[in-house]
Amino acid sequence: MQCKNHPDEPATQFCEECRVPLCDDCAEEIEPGRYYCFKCAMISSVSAVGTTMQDKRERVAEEKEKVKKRLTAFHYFIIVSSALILAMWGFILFGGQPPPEFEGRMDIASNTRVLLFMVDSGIKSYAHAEGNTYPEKLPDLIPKYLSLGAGQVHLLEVLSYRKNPETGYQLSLAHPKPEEMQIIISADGIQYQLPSGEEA
Amino acid sequence: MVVVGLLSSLALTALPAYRTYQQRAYGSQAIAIGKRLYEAEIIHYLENDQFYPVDSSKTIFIPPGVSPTAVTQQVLQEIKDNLDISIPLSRHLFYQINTGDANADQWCQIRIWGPFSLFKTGRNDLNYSISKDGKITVF
Repeated sequence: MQCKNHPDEPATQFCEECRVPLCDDCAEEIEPGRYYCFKCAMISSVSAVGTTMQDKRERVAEEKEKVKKRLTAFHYFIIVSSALILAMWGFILFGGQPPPEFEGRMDIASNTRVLLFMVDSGIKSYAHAEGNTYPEKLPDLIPKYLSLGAGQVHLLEVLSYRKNPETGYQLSLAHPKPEEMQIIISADGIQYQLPSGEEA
Repeated sequence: MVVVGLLSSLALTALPAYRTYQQRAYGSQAIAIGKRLYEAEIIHYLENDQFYPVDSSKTIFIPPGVSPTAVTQQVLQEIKDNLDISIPLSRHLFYQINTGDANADQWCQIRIWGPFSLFKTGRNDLNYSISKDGKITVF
């Protein structure tokens, strides 16, 4: 049998891929004992390189994944500080002491004098906050300047209030008891009137 | 956007906690100063047979503020001279003291209040009424 490329040369090997007869010059030994023709040897070589490159790429990607999955000191720092922040936040929201209990045991309705001065202080804080103006009517003080619940607004009916251009306002009990001294409060001060109408 | 969202949600959740802290701080301050004031008033009555201010037509009114006005400074000094206590000027608390001798019954009334609720119940004020026999009623 003659070589496919050199008809005057006897074939000594066959290509393992395409089985063509090859002389000593044409047979390419790609591995010990394995012979390919030039064309098949080239194809095999290119294919092997391609496979190697793909393997390499896969290996690099796997390494990257591993690095990604591995927790570094920075990751631990972030996790621990987040946990601490959450714990502190939890303490701020739920761990503090409650506000103090209100000490008052008496109902404000039981003492009109206390109510009178309480409303007066509400008027004064209204004037302080609103630039020395006075409310048109007493319910305007609730709730910011006077702490009365919705069910207690009627308590203000026992008081007489009007704005006064000279003294700012005038506040007193609307229906004082006959034997009681009348207390008239204005921005200027407090006046006490005897039941007879005389000033005390 | 994420940061703004996170900060907003943190601020929103912290708001009730902030209110509680504010209540606790100013509520406790109101109680502490109220007690000192009524004790000082009782001592003043025992020494002078009169509550302070002696002139019952006068109202002691201390508004809140970071820096006191000349009038407030004068009032604080008068309290220090007469009741022998220093009232720390509060950022939010108002103080008022009234006295009276109406109906032959001497009394003193101390009121401390703020622009927000000071106590668990939602009340924003504390009223002490002191009679001449030393009976203290809290309204």
